[in-house]
Amino acid sequence: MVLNSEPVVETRDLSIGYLDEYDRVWWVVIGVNLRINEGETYCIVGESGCGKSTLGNALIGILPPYAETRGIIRIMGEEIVRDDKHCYWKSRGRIVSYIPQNPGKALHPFMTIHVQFKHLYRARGLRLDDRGVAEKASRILELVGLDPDEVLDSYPHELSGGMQQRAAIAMAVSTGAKIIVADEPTSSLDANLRLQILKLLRKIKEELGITLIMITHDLVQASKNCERIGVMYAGRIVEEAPVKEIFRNPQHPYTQLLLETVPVLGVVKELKTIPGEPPRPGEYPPGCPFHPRCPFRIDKCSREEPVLRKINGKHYVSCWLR
Amino acid sequence: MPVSLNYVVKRTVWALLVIIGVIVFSYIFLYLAPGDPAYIWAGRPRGVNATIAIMNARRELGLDKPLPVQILLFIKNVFTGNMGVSIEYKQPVSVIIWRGLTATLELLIIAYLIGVSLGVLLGIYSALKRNTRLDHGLQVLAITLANAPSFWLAIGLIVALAYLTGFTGYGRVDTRLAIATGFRPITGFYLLDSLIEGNIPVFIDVLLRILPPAIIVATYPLGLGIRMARALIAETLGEEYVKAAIAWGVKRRTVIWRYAFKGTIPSLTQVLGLAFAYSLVDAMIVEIVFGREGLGSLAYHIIGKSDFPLVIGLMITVTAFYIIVNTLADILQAMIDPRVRL
Repeated sequence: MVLNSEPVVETRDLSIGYLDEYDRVWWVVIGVNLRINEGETYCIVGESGCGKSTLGNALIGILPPYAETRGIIRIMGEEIVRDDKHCYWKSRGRIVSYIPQNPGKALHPFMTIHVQFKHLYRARGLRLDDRGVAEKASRILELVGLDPDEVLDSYPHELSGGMQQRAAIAMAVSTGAKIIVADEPTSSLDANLRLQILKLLRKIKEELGITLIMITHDLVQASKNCERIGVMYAGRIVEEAPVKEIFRNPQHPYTQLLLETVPVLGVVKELKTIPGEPPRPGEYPPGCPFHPRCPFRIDKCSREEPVLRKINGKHYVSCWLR
Repeated sequence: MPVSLNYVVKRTVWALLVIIGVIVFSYIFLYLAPGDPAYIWAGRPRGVNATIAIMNARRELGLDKPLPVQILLFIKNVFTGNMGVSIEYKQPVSVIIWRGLTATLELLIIAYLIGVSLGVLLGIYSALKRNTRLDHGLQVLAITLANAPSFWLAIGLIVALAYLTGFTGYGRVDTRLAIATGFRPITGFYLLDSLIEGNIPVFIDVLLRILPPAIIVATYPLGLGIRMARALIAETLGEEYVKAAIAWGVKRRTVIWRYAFKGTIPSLTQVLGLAFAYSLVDAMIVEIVFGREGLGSLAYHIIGKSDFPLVIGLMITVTAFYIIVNTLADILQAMIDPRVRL
């Protein structure tokens, strides 16, 4: 694979906030710099409320109208967002696609899979008759491991959870977009299906040369599929490194604690939790956002905010102790 | 058609029970109310032979039998297609009611075509422009329209039209024009009839006369439509399937109509279906103010006339209307939402 030196997805000091009814902005994502290369699988890991879904929505272009953005998003070299100006129509469904968290809700309940594919092809400017849609959709449905004859004329509620997610993945792929953002694609599935869907994502990524951005709260899941992981806390990327590096040599106290919460098969140990609660979105503490929960904090942590610094190779961390 | 035999049977049995209940209660209330139908049937006789005439009338009407027998006989007649003869008009109740029903339904349908289409459009617009000044203005308008008493609005409109244009001609059609052009109602829906006959002058006349009352009746579905459509669209716009469609590049217009609006149709028909039945009463009041014939005028004229068959006939009609409208709303919901099986 030829790696493009230019990242396909790049953000510069991207901050996203939500306006409340008093016109105050609650910043949920703060100063995120991402550089994601072509063909890569990048995983954004964090607890719920850390801003990872908001970041994902910003990349896809489905932020609600009351969202405020600052900074730059560049996709395939094209500037999609600069501060509050954006031109998502260039990327949405053309370059960037989306795999939903809950496929049962992401497929329209009143339309057969066939009709939903028809709308997707129309959106790409393809004028196909019913047979054309069926033929084109069948190929993708087979790719995701579904039987087109069984699925095409079904309504979403007639499919099982796993089939719904496969259908949703098929739709995400059918847009022809080469960058796919998957927002917790397996969190609504049971353990067995979870593995199947992860395998499927890997297969599709390899066969179609897709750049995958996965958003998850599950480190184990992240480790199975990804090349690089960005750990998110309180709206910031606090550590970013290749998967092996993160597991072998976690640098940020939050990452270390997060790894200790992961149960290991065959090892009897008391499962740990991180003390305290994650800050509520938009109510992040001053200084290092993690300092109230950090067991290693020093005085400086509550006063000054650390920046993401390179410690070696591709490993970046924002902590005063490193 | 996603309607099972089970549903049809259940609905029918339930409808019949409701209608029987309505007959029984109406009959008992009419029986308890002051006034004597036999006296009116006999032609309000006075003098020495009055008692005999009234007694004869009473026997003729079957009012000499015990109350339970009277009610049972009435129910039997209704279900064999005999609604009886109006005491006041001495015409078959079915004929009188059909004439009134077509007039009222015509008004109601025109009103709903205006009210619902405009209301839903404005509601969707309001939802898309949420929290703008226009949205707030529309919401105030909607609440005002849905809650203003229609008889009062009707009087206001009549006065305003008379003052501004001098138009005071109400009723359903200009009788002289109808006779001059040889207009003969076929179905009883004058707009439809004049079109079938190709009688354009009468069509325009009927339309001009139906529009003012229709606008008044339309205020309720208009206001309700704006509020409901806004709330429901705002809700579906936040649905995951709308988000996914946008993310997959589906065009804005398709997302709004084929995804978001489609998702609201079942709830919308349920609410507007109920409102349609409610508006029947509204239309009945408005047509009295506008001096149109119809179920409302009919009910208004027989107040205090002890017209048992006609009153009960009206009750049955209104009840059946409610049942039919709600059943249709259910069926429409099942046709659109594949998860619903009736």
